[in-house]
Amino acid sequence: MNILESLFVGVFAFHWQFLIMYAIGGILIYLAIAKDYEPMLLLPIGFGAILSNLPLNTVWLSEDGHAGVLKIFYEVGILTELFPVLIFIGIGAMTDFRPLFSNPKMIFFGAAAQFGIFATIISVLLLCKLIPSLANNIIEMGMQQEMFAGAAPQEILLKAAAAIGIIGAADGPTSIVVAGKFAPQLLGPISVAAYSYMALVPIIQPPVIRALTTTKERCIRMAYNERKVSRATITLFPICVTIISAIIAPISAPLIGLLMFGNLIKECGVLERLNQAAQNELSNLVTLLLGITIGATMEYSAFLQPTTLAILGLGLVAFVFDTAGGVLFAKLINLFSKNKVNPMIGAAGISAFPMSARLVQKMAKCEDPHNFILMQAVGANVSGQLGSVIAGGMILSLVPRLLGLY
Amino acid sequence: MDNIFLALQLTALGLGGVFISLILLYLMINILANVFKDKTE
Repeated sequence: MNILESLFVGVFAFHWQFLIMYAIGGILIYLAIAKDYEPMLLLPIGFGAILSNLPLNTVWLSEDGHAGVLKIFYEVGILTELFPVLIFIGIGAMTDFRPLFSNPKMIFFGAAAQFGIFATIISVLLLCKLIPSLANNIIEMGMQQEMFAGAAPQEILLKAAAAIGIIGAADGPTSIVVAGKFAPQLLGPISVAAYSYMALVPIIQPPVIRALTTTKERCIRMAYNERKVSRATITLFPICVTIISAIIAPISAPLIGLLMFGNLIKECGVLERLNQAAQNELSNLVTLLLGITIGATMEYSAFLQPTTLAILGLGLVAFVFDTAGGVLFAKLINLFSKNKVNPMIGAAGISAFPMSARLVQKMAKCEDPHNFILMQAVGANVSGQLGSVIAGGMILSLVPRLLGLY
Repeated sequence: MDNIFLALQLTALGLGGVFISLILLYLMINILANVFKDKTE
């Protein structure tokens, strides 16, 4: 009888909830392949979700009780920040900050468009006030984590709210780092929401921009004087950014430091092979491992929770408030400035690069076929990359302090 | 209410911190661009 049981152990260990997770994994894979929505991440995440919901889940925990292959990746690559930080080297190597030198004022939109992060944190806490069962669900899930042994419910809730809010950074690696540190139990849904909404920027942003601007405002033309940037300037830029950011938010040093390291490799002009390796081999390999590892955290008992639905809804709120924050900030600047800014530029202050900048240019062209604001939008967009990492660092350092943990 | 108050504090300090950082970066960009001007310009 025992032999027969062991033959069908997979059948006996099958839960009906697995089927829901296969459907969710399948939808992510479908979106990646058929709709081309962030395929580099959504496909591995979708397959990881299927892998982690196989009977006995041996990819996570092997039969003899040792960590399975994906749990090893998770412990080594996610909990230690290694994968997100390595991805940042690749992103840095792919980013050109020159448009920012032609119009440095664009950098402020990279700050304004982080408003969504904080508005979402407040929204999460208000929602938990309105729906106490949601708060209980978040706290119960947190209590199951070793890191929250003996922690007060308020700590679990505020850290979870911060981790959900960081979806508004529109920056996958930063979201993963903050969620990994503050709410590892929510890492799966937060990552899925972050990457899905980043892919949906062309759908989410236009209605918000249109609602907050008039046709006349969307037609504002902006002069663009391309400034030639010396090699010394563009080489010193990543070094100075690293030092300044680390002074203001020391905890963000690994993220901003390696982002800027990647940029230094690109701009120094003598490390072309490393530049290509960072942009291609390193970036591709880590993305692959990151995606499948994130997917593997989507085990049904952790994922099929009311909190997941709330996270998906709140992720949308984060992107809406990001866009609104940027657009309204641009309108505020226009009240005091002689040289008017096209308020749509504010929406490009999010970190989703280059989708957001492209979208703004497309919308400007729709209103006025001769309006060209792409370079200004790119300037705001690369600022958003800096702003999102700094905002992530701010949250990581401020939340424990506000909670009186140190 | 405690949590909302903490979140408001976090918003003020966090968003303020991001703005201050980017103001410093703005100054840095201008200084770098002026000190190390491109000779062909």
